[in-house]
Amino acid sequence: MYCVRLHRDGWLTFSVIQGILFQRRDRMKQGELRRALMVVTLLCIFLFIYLYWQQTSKLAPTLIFNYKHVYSSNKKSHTPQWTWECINQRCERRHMKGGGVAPISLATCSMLCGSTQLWPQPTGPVTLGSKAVTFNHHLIEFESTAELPARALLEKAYANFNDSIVSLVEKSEYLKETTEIRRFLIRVTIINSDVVRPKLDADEGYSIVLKTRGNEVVANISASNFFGVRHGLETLSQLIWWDEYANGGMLRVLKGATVQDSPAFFLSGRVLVGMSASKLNVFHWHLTDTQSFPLVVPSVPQLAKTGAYSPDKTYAPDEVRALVEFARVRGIRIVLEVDTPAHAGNGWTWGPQAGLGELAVCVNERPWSLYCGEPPCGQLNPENPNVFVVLEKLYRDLLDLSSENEIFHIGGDEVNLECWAQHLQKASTAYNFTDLHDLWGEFTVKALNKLHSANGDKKIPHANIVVQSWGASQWPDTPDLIADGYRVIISHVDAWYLDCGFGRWRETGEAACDPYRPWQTIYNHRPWQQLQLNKKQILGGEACLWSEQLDEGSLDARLWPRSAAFAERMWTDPPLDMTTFNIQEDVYTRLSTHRDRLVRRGINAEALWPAWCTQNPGMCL
Amino acid sequence: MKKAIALVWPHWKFATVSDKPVYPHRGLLLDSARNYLTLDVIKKNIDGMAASKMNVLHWHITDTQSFPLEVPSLPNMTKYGAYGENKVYKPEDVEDLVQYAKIRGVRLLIEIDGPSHAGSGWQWGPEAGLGNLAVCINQQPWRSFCIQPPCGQLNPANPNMYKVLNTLYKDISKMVPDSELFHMGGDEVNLWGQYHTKALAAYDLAVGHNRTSAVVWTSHLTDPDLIQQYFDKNRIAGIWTTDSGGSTTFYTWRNVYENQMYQSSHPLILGGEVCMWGELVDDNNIEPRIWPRAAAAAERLWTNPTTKSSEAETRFFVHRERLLNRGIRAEAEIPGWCVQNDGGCSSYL
Repeated sequence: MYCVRLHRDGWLTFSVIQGILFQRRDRMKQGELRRALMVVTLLCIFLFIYLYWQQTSKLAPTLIFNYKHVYSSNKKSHTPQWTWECINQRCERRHMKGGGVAPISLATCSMLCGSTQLWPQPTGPVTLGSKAVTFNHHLIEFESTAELPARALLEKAYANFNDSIVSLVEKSEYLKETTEIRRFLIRVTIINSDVVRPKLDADEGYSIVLKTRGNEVVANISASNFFGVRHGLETLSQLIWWDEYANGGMLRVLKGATVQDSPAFFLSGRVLVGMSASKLNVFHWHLTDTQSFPLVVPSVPQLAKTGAYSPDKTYAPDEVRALVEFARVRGIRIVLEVDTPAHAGNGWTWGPQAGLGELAVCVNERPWSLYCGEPPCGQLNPENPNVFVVLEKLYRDLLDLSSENEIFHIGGDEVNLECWAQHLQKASTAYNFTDLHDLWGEFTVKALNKLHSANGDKKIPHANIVVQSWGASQWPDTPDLIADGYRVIISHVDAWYLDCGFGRWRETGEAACDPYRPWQTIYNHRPWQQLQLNKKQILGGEACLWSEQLDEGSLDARLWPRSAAFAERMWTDPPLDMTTFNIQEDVYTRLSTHRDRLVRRGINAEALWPAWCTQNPGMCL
Repeated sequence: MKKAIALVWPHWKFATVSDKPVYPHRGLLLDSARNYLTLDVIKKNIDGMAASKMNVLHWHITDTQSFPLEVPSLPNMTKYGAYGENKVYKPEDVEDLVQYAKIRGVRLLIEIDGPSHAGSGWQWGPEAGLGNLAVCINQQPWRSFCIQPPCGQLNPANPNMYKVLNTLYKDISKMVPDSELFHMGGDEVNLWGQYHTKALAAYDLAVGHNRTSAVVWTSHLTDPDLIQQYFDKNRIAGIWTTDSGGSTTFYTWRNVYENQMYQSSHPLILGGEVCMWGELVDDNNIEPRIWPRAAAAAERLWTNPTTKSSEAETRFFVHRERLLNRGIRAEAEIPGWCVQNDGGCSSYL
């Protein structure tokens, strides 16, 4: 939108200048006019080149991040009308009377009062000092004994840390103000510099010791590997805030603090900047479905060519790779999912033309309600051997694009057996099975074999099959899977589906999963306690955002801050009172702060409540 | 819409359209008191209204949570009531908005809610020697004193309160000159029938005439047995807006579209309004919350169709794209495949 506005302004300028020249034409001599036009044309060429350059949207390895208020225009410094006082561990808003006591901003009061204001809440001991000092981001220095390859990632993480701090700044001239310290040193210690890929068993824990000596603040962050340090930097960034009242606006950091922290679960799934701010570490990208196939697969270009909504609604291989890198620096792994055999339609119809036979059946078939759960229909053809040839190429490319060697999602949900029963060749496969579930099973085994081949013939042991359980928490699925010895990733629809609550999108039928899951429902879902499950078999959880009823405009609001509530459930896993389901006041206070933090980092997070409640912590429970 | 033939570029086909709305009042309510809305975002919404031929922006500008409207003769209102110095609307902002809206066929209907829903901004009475202008401000436990925190209600026993109201109305009438309509609030309160009579008198005094129609919310006071006592038929235009009544069901665009108007085209029914209360929205997420669903209401109020949403689908999705093109972050209502494959997702077939 910003680019479009620039473009419009560019045209406007051009036409305005033209208009002026036109009006003055009669009063100017011939030569003068020609010169003037030359100058204007040159100016406009420069302007258009500049605008064109601005509009290039390819995801370069340095992903440009859209800031909202970095160096926004200077606001007039009035005397602040509100001040806050820490009374009984809570900040109370007071009206400023003229003269006397210096006002305290909500942010400063919050950081020095009862709450840690961290999200998610650290699992280990936290001690926070009661004083803070002003500084600016030019005073930040990084020091580390870490070696390659972690060092390379660390440099990028420093840049992201810097960006997070700069996103807090609300006054362009703040660099000119005097600061209470001369240096802010961040010292990083990594034990294993060779861990640079997210690993399920890698320790994501970290510790921070923050001290101030004289005019120097030193923050020591130590962790087992880069990913722990990354989380440490995130927490450190949350101990820094913008104090709008100090000298008309300054950054502040606590003078002293210690934090020990590590996550409860290994996996806690979904979108990258908001995720890193909330310590979520897996982005499960459901790339394709029957509706469209936007991923450009290098060895099978026909998929996107025939399946994308339009040529510009595609994800090019280098874009995916850039995103994987972008994610990794933020401690996030990306799992690329091309769902099969069901949820595959548009993009798979080019088979006959290529002499490969039907790769999919029931594609876009009517009446859809007979052949699938939601229009349009489409399922891969299990009796066509070419399907598996294509799958192997696809899997190879997916592994390459994601640089993943630990987790792979093969899809596998909601196969409609009626579709297969009616469309497969009578004289073969369909009649080898009395129960088509076995055909489904056979497909899955064949697909897994192709995954082995694509993965350099490294067989996947049975123990490594993990099931993502999305049914309702009251269904027997999750307990049964665990009883059968499988490890699970929990995504129970009744608690952790973020898309629910927006009614039905088709004219007929019911809404798929109303009502809306408010953040409290998400936060209070603790199935390992409620269902008494063996935690050792729970790899973690994923909050899911299906996109039938959303696109970019509302993506942020649909995800945040509810995903942050999920993030604390997965990182901190706070105790749950199963009689009252009460959520402590501090959770509301910290979540509100975190929501504002996300907004500052450019995420259009939903409003939690009226701003009055943010300004008056504890008064809206 | 009476008749239209599509224009095809570059081959011109001629078209004639003859059109007029069924209802004269087709409104959107914005609430800038629960959460502050920047002028840019308000203007975006006016753009959406213009695209959908809606013509009233009902601006619920104050509530107990905050008072962001700068009142030149009463600087204390924002001093005590705004969330911050930069979360205010200056008189010139309001005037600018009036103009911006006018060109787009939208009139601004400002609401200063009272006697309930008034707290922030009214605390300065005692200090100024005027006594309590409002009571129960921020009182806890809030559940005992109001429906939603913080609490606050104007003090009808204090004559100074009406004087302040008069000054307030005077300043507002300067920002929105020649306004035929003014919204006086009046919801969720018991007992204060006299308030409305006195408040309206204060308004008339402020503008110097009594030709303005005042709009009030439905309340206990507008019940048939009470309404004649307190509201003069000739002065009050009460717009009955459908209240969810505490329900938390999401209204899809189809629900909004198919909402039937009471006794279609009754002469006393001026129209309707869709309400975007601000507890859970601000600049970050308000646009997709309002659009394109408000456009469904726009057609209900302009055309009052007898057909269902399924007939309007194709046009509705085109309109959603139109809103996107005009820079409004309208929500996606349906997978892109369904838009590209007209009728492909309509029914079970």
